[in-house]
Amino acid sequence: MLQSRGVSDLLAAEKKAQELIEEARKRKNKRIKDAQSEAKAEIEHFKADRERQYKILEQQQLGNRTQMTEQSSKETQIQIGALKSQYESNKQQLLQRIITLVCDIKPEAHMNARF
Amino acid sequence: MSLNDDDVAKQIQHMIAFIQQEAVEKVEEIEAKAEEEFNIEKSRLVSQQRAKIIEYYDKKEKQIELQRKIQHSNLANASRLSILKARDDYVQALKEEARKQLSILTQDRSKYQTILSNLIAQGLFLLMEKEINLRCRRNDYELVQQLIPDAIQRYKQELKQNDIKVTIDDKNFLAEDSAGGVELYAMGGKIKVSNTIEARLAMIFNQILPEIREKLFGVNQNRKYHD
Repeated sequence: MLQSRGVSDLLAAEKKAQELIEEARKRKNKRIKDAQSEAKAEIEHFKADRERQYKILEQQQLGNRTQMTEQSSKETQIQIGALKSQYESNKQQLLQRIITLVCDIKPEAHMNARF
Repeated sequence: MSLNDDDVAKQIQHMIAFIQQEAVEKVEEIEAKAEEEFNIEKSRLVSQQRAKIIEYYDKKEKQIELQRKIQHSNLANASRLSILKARDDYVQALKEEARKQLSILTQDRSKYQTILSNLIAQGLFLLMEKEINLRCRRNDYELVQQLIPDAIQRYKQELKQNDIKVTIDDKNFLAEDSAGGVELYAMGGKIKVSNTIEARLAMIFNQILPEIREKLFGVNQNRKYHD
């Protein structure tokens, strides 16, 4: 009688032990699966951060764009203005030269035709 | 010898305790392994995805930089082009000014007479033909008629040729608003010498363009060779 009770106790303990181990294994598998979802969450966080960083850069760039255009056209206008003043100051002299040359006509026979 | 009940009970307790102990240890082992594999898997996934994300955003940021450079280059280009266009506009304006002044000048009869006489003579020398047809402005018709004999004289003197016949076209004339001068035709209109004021202006203007550019825009720093 004692023996059978002892044996059944042992069997019960063995069974309990197996159950505990089985549960631990199940937890282990779940834990490993959790790795995926946790990794995903972390990555999403990282991605959002990076995206924010990128957006800031993009905005900056947009701002620079308009500034660059303005600056470029301002500088161009200055240079074109300088052209105008140079034209005005040199115009007369050049016109004189051109007109003198146009009116200076030398009718000559061709070199080979002269004897 | 048989064990008494107490001994058996104790043995059994020991065995049960042993089984339980083993189970606990095994569970601990499993849990430790679980944690370890969890960490490995998680960091593997994270670093894999991280690398992809970093590469993606690096590329996008490079694109931004590229766009910036492209824009800068486009602006510089557009600026250069508009400056070049402005320069060309001024050169053309100069030419037009010259034309206007020449138009006014040719209204001065004495000056125009010399010029026209020279132009006719020069035309004759260029053509060296026996029969020449002259075309002038309608208003210049009489003046040209007066000047032809002198031009022929000069021609004969220089070239010692005696037969040359010059006629003025009285059906076709140069445009009213032209600055003056003559067009000479030979061989039934097959050879043409355009000795109008405009033609001379165009030719001379083109020839002294380098000088004009230098005076208007300064010496070109980028030019390497000067001859």
